[in-house]
Amino acid sequence: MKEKISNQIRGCLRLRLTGAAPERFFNLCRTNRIEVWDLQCKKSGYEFSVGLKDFYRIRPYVRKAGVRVRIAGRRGLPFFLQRNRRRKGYAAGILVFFGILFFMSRFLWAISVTGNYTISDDSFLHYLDSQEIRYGILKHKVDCDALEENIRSSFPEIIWVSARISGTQLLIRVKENDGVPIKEHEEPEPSDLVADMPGTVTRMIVRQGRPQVRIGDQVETGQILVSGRIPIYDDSEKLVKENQVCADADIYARTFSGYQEKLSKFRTVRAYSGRERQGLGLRLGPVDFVWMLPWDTEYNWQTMVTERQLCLFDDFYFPVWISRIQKKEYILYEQFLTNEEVLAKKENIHQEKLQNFLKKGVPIIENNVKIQDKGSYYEIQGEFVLEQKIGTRQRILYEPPEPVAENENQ
Amino acid sequence: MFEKVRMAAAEELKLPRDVVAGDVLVNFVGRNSVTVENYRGILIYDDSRIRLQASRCKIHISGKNLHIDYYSHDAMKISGQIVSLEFVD
Repeated sequence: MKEKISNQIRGCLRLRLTGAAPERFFNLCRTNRIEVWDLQCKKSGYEFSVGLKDFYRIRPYVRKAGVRVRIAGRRGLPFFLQRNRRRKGYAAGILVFFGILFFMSRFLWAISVTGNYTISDDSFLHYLDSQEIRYGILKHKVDCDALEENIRSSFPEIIWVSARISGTQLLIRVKENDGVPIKEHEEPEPSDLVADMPGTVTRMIVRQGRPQVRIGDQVETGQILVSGRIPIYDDSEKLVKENQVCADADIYARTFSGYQEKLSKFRTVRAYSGRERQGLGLRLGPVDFVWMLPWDTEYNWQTMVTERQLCLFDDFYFPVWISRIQKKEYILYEQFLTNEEVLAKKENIHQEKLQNFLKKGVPIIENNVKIQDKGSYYEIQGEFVLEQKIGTRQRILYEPPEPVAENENQ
Repeated sequence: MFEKVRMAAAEELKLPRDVVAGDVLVNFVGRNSVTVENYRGILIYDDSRIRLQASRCKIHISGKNLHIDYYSHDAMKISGQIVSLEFVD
């Protein structure tokens, strides 16, 4: 490919060779390192290609081998320029084309963000917009190093970022922190561990604090599971003081979870009439042009637009978007769900809820689902018996000392 | 005598023969393309046969619509419908 382009730029000739000893001529070319390619034996003689420079070198070897060489074709830029030397408009057009190309290459016409999962492309583009980086700005105004620094400081979840300009495209590659988010170190405050849902305690491991429940106990929401208050008694079992700690424990309980969902008896069906419209769109920067036949608006049309930005090579983007528009006419109507469809939908909803628990790693001991006909709709009721960790921290409120003690201190 | 010593040394040192002795290298890609390296010259060429001179032998290639894609001082690429390739002393 590279050689072909080079030959086109330097110019090459297609030669036809006749005579008694063509092989001798080819060997002479080989010995004298004259590049010959695309050698073919035809009825009219041998045809081959040589570079324009080498063509001037073959004359002595032609004479020596006793062959005749005729030019069968000329290819490449030198011949093109020679042929079109009088066409001034043509040359001016080419110059203007390259001028526009050069002018357009000074601006930024595409922004590509890769590696982002939690931060959407739109959020990124909004952020870049706030940093005065948008489509159509001059490339030299983009300071990639400063942009990298700003992105890192504005998005703490991004642990690595690279920004560079390639052609007319700004390429931003990011790597997000996919591990457990690092929590800031918190000073443990004196707190109790209270039940955040009702259940029956099945397992418990207490690391700090005073347990208030036992395995098998039924607990209610808000009930203290592990107390952060640790009383200190003296030998006569008299309360000397009370230490307050941050209760820390893993309490597992058998809990119940349920849901109720309404399911419509109908489903909306989109019926295509078979009428289709096709059109083309052209966007030049902020200006849109659409070429499409007029259509009646009595029915609904489903529109699908496939848009492509004009790009030269891999990264030389232009502010020109070409789109193909396809429209399909459809009518909406409602259809009764069949029994099989109702059961399938019920199963889907239940499985979705089930998967939510499984994703969290909560063991499911029992699960039930039932469906009831409520006249205009169905009601799906599901129940799960789970074994999960319960308990949330509740700060121990500061209790002011008793007035008597205050007086004693004074 | 010198040739024999050179070949023995090449064998012992596990050096490629095409480098040491200038042996011809023939590389087929399917039956429609062959590259010949280390040849010395073209003896005959027409669209049904190509004869090349190598350092120790001659190579006869026969086929249909034989066409030399390129040739340089060391290598030649031939394409076409190749029927046979023969080494002749």
